[in-house]
Amino acid sequence: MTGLRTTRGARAALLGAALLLLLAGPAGGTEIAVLFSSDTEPYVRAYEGFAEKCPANYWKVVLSTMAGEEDRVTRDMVGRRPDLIPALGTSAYRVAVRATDRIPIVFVLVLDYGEELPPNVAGASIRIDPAIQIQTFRRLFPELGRLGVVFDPANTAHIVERARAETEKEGMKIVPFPAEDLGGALRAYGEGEEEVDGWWLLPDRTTLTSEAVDFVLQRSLERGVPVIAPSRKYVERGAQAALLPDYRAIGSLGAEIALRILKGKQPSSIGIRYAETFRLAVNSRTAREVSIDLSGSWARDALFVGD
Amino acid sequence: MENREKPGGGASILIVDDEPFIAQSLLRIFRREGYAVRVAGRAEEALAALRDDPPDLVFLDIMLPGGSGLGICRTIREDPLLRGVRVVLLTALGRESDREAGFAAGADDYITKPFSPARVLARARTLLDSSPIGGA
Repeated sequence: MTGLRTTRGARAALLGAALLLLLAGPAGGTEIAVLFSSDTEPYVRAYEGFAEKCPANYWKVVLSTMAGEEDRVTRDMVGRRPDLIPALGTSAYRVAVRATDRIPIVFVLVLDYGEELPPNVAGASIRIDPAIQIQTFRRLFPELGRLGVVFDPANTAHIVERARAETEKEGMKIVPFPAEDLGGALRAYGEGEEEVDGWWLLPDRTTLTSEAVDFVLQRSLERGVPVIAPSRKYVERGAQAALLPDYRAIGSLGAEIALRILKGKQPSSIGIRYAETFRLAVNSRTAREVSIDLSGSWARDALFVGD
Repeated sequence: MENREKPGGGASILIVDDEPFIAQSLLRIFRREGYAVRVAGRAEEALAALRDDPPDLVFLDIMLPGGSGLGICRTIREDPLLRGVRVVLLTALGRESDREAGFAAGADDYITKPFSPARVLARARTLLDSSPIGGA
């Protein structure tokens, strides 16, 4: 796949190559046109997982190389009537939705897909199933009773709702702090700290800012309570743990959705599926400082970061 | 900006950081233990506080408004009146180059943010116990 990487200077050649890929789509069988946001590792791994599970004739277009021609190239691709379009990443998803409301689109590794999906869209989120996350938190932090969540209701209320029932099953309680801006988020982290035994940071563009993260990480370590983050970079910064998505497995999940659609299922009846496999990232220094037992069986496959 | 407190008996500590929550966190940690703590948020305030009443220990952020923490560290090492002051740099995770530059500038130790009370107190006690000025 590294052969897809290129420079801006080779734009004309790339456009030609993209069109060649379209024209060269093999005749017969299922035709699938894959839109890559870029040819970086997460999308390449997701594509491998997708293609392995869903045999077809694949056309590939890498949007990051199109330099302003993304919509035109995608419309050309749509004009050749593929049976399905997997859109890998948020920018690919947005371009695909602009290009067609008829051909089924399966998004993969998309974080921000909006509140309502178009009827021709289903997808595999980059988010790990909140229920699985909660079960993992329980294994990691057996003493955790009240899990604080600061979130913007416009962005991530659905995650909080989905997690709420699971926390009760696990004997925990979600303590929600709605915040509509950064100031509200900082206030919530400061004023709410006595009401929680740990914080769960959601991938919310309003509340998950650098300032808010540094603040909650320092305050929490001072109080000895854990912070669970949505990605590895926050674990490197000091959060105790994060669940890292398995890109290949999410691609495979996208392929399962694609196969159902190709057999006649309506995308709108499938909707969004969350990732179910993950790898745990742990900051060994800050984990020890909040007394997490690093010898548990969960640690065998964990990725340890930090100093 | 300078915030002075004079509990009896403790060693004196100067906290130099422009992030209020970091400075407040260190202030709480050392106040509880009875240290005399001052806070400065800018480089020039820090230099004035150092010369006004040299502390036993300085917690020093590297990036400061009005100057560099490394520059302050070098000043401490070059000034005969401040040479005995112990210096702990406050660094961000993953900034090994900051640590190397800090030791080259004469820092005695570093603490990575975020930090726990236990870790920061242990470092302070170790340095103060070996201080030529006096122990905690």
